[in-house]
Amino acid sequence: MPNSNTASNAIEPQAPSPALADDNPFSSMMERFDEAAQILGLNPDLYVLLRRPDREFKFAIPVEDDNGEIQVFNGFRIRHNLSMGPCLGGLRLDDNVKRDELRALAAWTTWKCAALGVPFGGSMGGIDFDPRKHSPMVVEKVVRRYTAGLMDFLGPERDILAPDLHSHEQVMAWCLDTYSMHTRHTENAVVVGKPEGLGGTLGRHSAIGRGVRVLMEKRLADMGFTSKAKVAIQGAGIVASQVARQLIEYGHKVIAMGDISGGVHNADGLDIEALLAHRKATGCVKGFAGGDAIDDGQLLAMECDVLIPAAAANQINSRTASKVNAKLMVEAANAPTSGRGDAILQERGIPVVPDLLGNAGGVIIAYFEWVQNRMGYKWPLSDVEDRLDRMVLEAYDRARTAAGKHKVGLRLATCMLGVDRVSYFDSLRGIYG
Amino acid sequence: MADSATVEPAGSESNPFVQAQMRLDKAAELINLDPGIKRILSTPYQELTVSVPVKMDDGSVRVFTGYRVQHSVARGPAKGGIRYSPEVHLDEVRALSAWMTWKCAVVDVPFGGGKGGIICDPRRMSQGELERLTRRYTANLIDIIGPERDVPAPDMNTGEQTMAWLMDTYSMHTRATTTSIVTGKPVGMGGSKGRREATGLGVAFTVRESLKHVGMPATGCSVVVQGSGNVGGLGALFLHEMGHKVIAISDMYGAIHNESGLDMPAVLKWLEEKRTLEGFPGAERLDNAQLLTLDCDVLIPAATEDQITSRNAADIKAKVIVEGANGPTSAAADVILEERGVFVAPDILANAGGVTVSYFEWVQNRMGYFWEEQLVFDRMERIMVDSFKSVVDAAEKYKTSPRIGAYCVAIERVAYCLNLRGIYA
Repeated sequence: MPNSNTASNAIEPQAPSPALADDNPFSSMMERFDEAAQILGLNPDLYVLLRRPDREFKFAIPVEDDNGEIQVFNGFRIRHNLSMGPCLGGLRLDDNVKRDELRALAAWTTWKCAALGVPFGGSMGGIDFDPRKHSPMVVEKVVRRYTAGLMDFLGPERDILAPDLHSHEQVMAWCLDTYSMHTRHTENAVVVGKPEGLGGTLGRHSAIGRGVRVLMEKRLADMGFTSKAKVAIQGAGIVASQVARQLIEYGHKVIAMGDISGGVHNADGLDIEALLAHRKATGCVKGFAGGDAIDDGQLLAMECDVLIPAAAANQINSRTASKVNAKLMVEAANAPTSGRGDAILQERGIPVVPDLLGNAGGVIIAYFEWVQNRMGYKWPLSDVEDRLDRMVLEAYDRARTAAGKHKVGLRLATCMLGVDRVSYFDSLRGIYG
Repeated sequence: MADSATVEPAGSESNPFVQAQMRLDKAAELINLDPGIKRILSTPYQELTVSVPVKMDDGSVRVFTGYRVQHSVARGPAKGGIRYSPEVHLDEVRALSAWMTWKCAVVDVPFGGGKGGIICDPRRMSQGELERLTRRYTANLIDIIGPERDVPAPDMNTGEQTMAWLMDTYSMHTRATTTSIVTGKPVGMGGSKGRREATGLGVAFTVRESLKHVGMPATGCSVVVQGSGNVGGLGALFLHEMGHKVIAISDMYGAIHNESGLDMPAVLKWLEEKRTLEGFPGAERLDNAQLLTLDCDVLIPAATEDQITSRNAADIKAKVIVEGANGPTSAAADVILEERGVFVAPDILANAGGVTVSYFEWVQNRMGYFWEEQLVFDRMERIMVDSFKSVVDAAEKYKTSPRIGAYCVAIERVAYCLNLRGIYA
């Protein structure tokens, strides 16, 4: 069905450029979307509509650098879909930023929000600028000018900025300030990921970890496994450390953890705080004395109850998937499993909690921050946590039901939930103009 | 590092944005432009790509892709046409938007440059489909267009009706009739008198100034015109009325030639009735290639781009070329013509009468008071004469061609505003 319709829309400027074709995030996302659309029997008109970003905006960011010379960077904002509400999307500061990557992430956020029942569409933004190569003054100017350039599109009811690669709390605060100066009143709901005093929510620093842990426990319980788990975590950055701390707090054991430099293994469980302190001091996990040194391959092949990839994309692939020695995998990173890797795990009967659910805590906590900003009332931590757990678990249950009904894996089922919901709203709203 | 659009594949020689960039480079070097200002001028201010879903007559939905690029708003709101064509391409829209920046600056109207387009085939669409396409495209652009922000105009395959739909949609969204959102509207709905004649008349004024500049007589010159629409046809008519001899003119099917001069009012009447120049009495038929190399004093390419190239530039016998069309001369031909001492009045000067009267339309809409036709022409004439002088003065000052001279004038004017305004944030 979808194929017959692309013919009538032969002009496809969004088609990925050939240079990227092999591991193009946009096309691999689209493959999953196509699959979901096919099984759902999506109406061809809606299929065409959902396949494309609603709009793509590119603009010049001129700034004076520290030498008084004018440099011009490029700012981007891609808005995928607005049928459910305002868009939510990260701001990525990366001098290698790719338009296709932004398109893919914008669309993923649409499906993710819809699958979770968060009333947002997806967007994504970026600047072809590496803040590590510039002074804080120049970074601030670039971020402020980016925000000013987006004034026509941003807003709590239109498009909300979130942190992403190299855009931390301070960057979000600059965005908030610039937006507020333009609108003549403080508007904290236009960005999420803010520091607490500026409208940030409680529970922000543990949200992703919490989502991972809650889903892991639920999935293990569904498998009849009720004791505490032995877990291996790939990664040691923000997400991975959140996950590790959360697991320890709830009595599980992290028996292996590692970053790009290498990893450590300790069958009795690693001292996570000591490991993270070591990493903070030395910049890498390698050399941590609280366990045996292992490499990345050993980490992924570690015998454990649960493997949690929490680093980069495409880590569980045709080479590594056959060696995975876990009862369950929960994806905390974005797209850590390649298509081939996914098929191998499925063949081997290793269940996977896919990224759309696994790292859902990030989107949910962003939503909660926005809700609290809009009402001007702050939730206590226990409310944030209870509501987050409920949202994650309800989405998981819906996805399990859909998987059973359509006889597909949890990954595809979650994507289908998202696509189905967005297309339902789009068809109700109809075509304006 | 990030001077140009690094996230997209680099352009080739056929890339119009790269071509425009080459001329910018040359002029920038002559006027010793600050590298930072040049970086700003080499990057469009903003580019919006929108999905435009349209319910077709058969009930299905098609999703078109629309663009709007604003190259510069340093001197005022962006100004530029919207084209509907299957060939619309972002690079081309970028190049044309930069072109509008330079053109507006050459004639010193307070606009920056913009351009838009939708990838579609209007010949295969019904009026209803085109209306829905135009309305949805307008709604999607509502955040970035406006009388003080970006003012569209007709271009390839768009016209008065398109502008009326655009104006109506914008006005419905803003809850007030806003005629100054577009130019090229019908007279009676906010359009300016004299707009139809504007480009042709501007070309005729440029011919007059060019002849004066090179020391040729003000009457009795032989003129060859390629194209017979609003630019070529009316331009030829005005030159005829000024006492010159139009010896050949063409349409898309071919040309007519009469060494002792064509009766232009009769030619245009014939064309209006027969829809072709063919068969016009007392003239011989020529093809397009023969037309361009006829022995004459003035040649006016007023049809399409890339007509005078390295292949025929050496054979051109005209002493003065006045570019009524956009980009009729390739960069390689430029060099040949310059060596041979041919005076070329470049497009961004010669055909700027059109955008000048668009500016007048916007002015009249803003004040809500309309000028008589003669007043429009008089004010346009003054602008064309002043602009011509600025261009030849710059060419002399920098010892370059009038074309690069025109770019120098334009870039200096835009850079002046950028420098004064400084960088926000």
